[in-house]
Amino acid sequence: MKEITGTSNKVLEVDLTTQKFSVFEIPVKDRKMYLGGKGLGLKLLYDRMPVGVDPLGPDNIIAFMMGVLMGTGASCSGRFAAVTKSPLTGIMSSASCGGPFGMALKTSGWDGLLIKGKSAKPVYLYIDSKGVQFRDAKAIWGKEIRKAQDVVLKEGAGAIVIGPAGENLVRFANICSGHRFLGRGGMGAVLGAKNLKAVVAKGQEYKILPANSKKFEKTKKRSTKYINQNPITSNQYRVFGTNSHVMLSNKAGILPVRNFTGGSHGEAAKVSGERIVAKHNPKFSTCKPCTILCGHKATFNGQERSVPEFETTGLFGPNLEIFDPNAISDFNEICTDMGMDTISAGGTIAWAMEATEKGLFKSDLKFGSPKEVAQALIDIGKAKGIGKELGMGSRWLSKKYGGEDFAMHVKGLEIAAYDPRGAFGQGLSFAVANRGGCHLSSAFFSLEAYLHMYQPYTTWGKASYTEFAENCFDVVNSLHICQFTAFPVFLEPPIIKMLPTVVLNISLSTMAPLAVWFMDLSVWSRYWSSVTGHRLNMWKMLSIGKRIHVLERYMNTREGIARKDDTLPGRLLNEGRVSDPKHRTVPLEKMLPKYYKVRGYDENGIPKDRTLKKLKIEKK
Amino acid sequence: MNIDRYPEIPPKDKFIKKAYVAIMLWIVGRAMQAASRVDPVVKEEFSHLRDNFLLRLWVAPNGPSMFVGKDKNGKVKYMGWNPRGKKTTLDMQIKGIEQAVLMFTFQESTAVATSNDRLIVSGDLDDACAIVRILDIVEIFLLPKIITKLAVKRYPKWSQMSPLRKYVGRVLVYIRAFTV
Amino acid sequence: MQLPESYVFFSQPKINSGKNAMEHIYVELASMDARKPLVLASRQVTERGLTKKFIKSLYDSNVVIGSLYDEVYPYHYACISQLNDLVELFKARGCDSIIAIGGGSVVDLAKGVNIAVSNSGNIMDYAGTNTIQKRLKPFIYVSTGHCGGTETSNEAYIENRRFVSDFLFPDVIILDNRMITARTRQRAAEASMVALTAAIESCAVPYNNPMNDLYANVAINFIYENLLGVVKKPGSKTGNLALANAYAMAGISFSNIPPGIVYSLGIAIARDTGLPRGQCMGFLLPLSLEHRVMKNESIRGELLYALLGTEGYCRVPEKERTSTSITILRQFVNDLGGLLPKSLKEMRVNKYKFEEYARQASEMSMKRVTQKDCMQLLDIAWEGIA
Repeated sequence: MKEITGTSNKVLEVDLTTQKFSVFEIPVKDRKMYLGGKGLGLKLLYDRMPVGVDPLGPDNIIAFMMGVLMGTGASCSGRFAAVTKSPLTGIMSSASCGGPFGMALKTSGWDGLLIKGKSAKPVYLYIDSKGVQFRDAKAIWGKEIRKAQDVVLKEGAGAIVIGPAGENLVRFANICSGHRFLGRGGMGAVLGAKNLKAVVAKGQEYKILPANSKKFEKTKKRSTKYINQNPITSNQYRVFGTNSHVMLSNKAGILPVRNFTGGSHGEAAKVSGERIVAKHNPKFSTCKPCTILCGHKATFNGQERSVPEFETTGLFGPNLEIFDPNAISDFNEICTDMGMDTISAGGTIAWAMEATEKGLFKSDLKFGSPKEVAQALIDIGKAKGIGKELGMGSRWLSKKYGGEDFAMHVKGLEIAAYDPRGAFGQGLSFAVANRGGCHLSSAFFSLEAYLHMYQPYTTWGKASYTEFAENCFDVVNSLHICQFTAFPVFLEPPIIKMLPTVVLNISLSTMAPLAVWFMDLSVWSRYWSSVTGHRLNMWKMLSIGKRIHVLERYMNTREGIARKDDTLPGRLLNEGRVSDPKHRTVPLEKMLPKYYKVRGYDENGIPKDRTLKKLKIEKK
Repeated sequence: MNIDRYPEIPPKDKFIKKAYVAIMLWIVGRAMQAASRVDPVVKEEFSHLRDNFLLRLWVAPNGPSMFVGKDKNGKVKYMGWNPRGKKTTLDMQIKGIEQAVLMFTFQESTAVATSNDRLIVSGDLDDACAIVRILDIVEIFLLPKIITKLAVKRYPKWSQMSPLRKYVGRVLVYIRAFTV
Repeated sequence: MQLPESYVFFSQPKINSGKNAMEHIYVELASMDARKPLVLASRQVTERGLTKKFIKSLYDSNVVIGSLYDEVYPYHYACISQLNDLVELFKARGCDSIIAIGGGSVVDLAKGVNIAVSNSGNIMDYAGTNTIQKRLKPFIYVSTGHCGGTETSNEAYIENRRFVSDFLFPDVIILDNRMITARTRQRAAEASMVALTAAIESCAVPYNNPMNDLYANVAINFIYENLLGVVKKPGSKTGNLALANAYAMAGISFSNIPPGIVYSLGIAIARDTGLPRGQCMGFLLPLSLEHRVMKNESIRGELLYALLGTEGYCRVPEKERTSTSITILRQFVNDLGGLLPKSLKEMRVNKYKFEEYARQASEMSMKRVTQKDCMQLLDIAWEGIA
């Protein structure tokens, strides 16, 4: 087997219209400025894509970017990123995914894959170290994801596939790789619009070696130690999966109940991770390589299936007033087969239920009734009946039928299963997240509601931490490594571990920028420098995170995003939760100006020229 | 929704303004009675009015009021404020206490107030016009020129009202209004 | 002026403008046999101290405020959940009339509550044009200056759906100079642009309607003469009151014709992008007139009359009246400087959505505006008026 030291630095550019491909190399300067993965993907799109292209048109480009860690065996590095303009939100969207495709493409010798144009008839791509072959997808077009994947995986080690939802341009269709998904932002529809059913990579042609293997092994050891020490990654996620969030959220009052009207529910325990462990006999089923092992399989309705992630459970469960794990698993399976994002699907269906209740929309969906939900999901995937409209997402629906205050989306992307009225920082984070209502941009809820490192009902220090965490996670998604590794990296270093919660609370709220000193982010920078052989320290790495974030924001502002879009659904700003006697709402207006100031945006939320210049982003 | 968060709001009283307007109405009423005895023009105007003439000038909806009318002998008399048992032939209603204050602090003349839709008159329009004229003259007697100019449509020139008539009238009206 | 063969004009509201206008409210209520209104306002109105002034104006009257609800959400439309709550409140307190203080969603909500309490069944069944068949409860609108621009019209937006009925006119419009206080320049410019669009589109139609023209002319003239002053000096009392009057008249004249191309497109773009309506309509207005001239459609000279008054109008030869009025209008919008965008490009509207906007606009104007015209106008507006 041939070897690659560091990175191959080769990116494939495929034009589906002409059915041709080219290979280009990325200048070292760009690599150093954007690391790889999401960051580099954004930069490539920024250079190539004009403003205002139709996300479902041939001019839209989708980039699949492997980070430098992929294939090296670094802990929790089995992930890759995809970047494109989202048909759901109309702005830049990025997603992270595990599964075998990343490894296969990387070990075929490619660092990334850009796809543009539109094929005249359905095709799929076959990629090996020699290049790309365009193959007729007649046989698999229209097939459900797992069936189609079984067919194409005979040809290579890894594949990404879209389901019927993607083919039918459902705006929240996703892309599948193995049993993991590029979930958010409707990337499946982008491929569907390009008439591209799948991409197969042969894989296992190259071996990836770090440039400085001694340093790499040392870092890996430290990182693994942290992960195995941390109670969240070594116990909570490993045993209960992300569904361990259910009871934590319920206790903190941030569980979405009945389309975000209540913050907790007496029956929530029925769908919790603890209950699944007790009754459904779970086994590991994870990305490779992984040290955390959060993914599980378990028995539902007598079949062995993937355990729904917390977001799926939250939005298809309590948010629809359904407390039956078997039903939720059914929905999860339908979404898997059709290729749809469960968060957006859940959010859209919750909107439809409430709108039906209020007489704004005609459907037979109602809260607490799982039968109709299953049918609606199939209809969405196949674009039949009301499914055709439901597949446009809650923003489109609420603009057409009304009910915008309870359409739970930000910038068009349905918000994940955390009610920010019980975690104000998460509210800010939802509002300003680049891709829309994204819980992963800063994952503030965990610090506020689960770990109690921040007071959830104050605004102190929220803007600075949001900025810091966004920078960190942009780095994480550019390396590319699992975001859950942030827990050990943030929490395991001795100072943070030893400090009493009260002291930590006060110091984080009042002196948030200093908190960086407590954390050991150098694990990530050492990983990158040991693999690539370029120098990088954690401070420089953080400024790269900042650059990536501001670049994405700047690209979005060119598409029309401004302060008016940095908001939350009306319900979160005006109505209190049923479970909260004080009826608190998110004081977004208080936090936004502070956040803009920290970020270097003007009062309208647009990056200032000074900021762009400082971050060396070329203005276009 | 918790209905109790949005309680009923009953209207409060504007006591001082009401008291001010009540006093002004009393003075004007008394002065009209006095002027009808003293000034020939006012006497003339009143003589054209019907025998059972009774004016009510009041502030709606429940503000102070004043009655001026002819008694059995045909003499003009101020008849107090109480509407009980009285049959008015001309009802002049000022729409609200704020409007009344505007009028009685001379920020708006009677004519301007009428055009600003602040008065509602029910009864004979001829009578109403006569009363407005009488009110103008009474104001001329009661107040110095500098204020009266604001309150009446046209301040009479020397040729129209001799200073003698004005000053003698003013003294007599004041004496009668506050004594008899 | 020519008498057209036939025309229809309807105007329900009584306008009461100026000093102490609010003190007339109880008389108006009494004349409509009402004495317990439900009062709606937004939190902003209360924060500006205007609800307090309103309550004081009702002192020493028989009117008991059934309930003062000042938490109307600041959206572009009325929200159904709030509407249902308010209907409940209205009935629980035994109210018999509605007063809206402020503009935009407050008025929409008040109109919505009015439909709901006067009619049975689901309110959404009444969406559309002329579906309401019954007289509604007395409704008084107290203006607080620059809000939506067409509060006084016969349309209401409830949950994004347009309700049109002559019964939706306010019965009384109160323009009291205590309530019409200074707002930001931006707000003044945006509201004025909506009203200007409504007024110009209602009098620039090829067929004339003398009454409509009169209302529209006053509105156009008030805006043209006062807006720049208010923008320069947002606290100007007379300027703000004149503009409030202009909005009231524009709303009335706009109610008597179906919405035109700029209004419909503005609404469609605003709905999609979330930008204020005024920003979308401002620069489209002169462009749409130019576009019509390009298509050899006539624009009546009355527009110039409204802008310049008799003297200016007479000075311009008949043939040049159209072009002169467009030039003046263009200059006027340009003079507003940085307050309004000057092109769709500047607004960062996505070009691939044009077709959708055109479709929505055409639908809204009941096909009076064709999709093709909309597309042409949008293409022109991409580069804008700069």
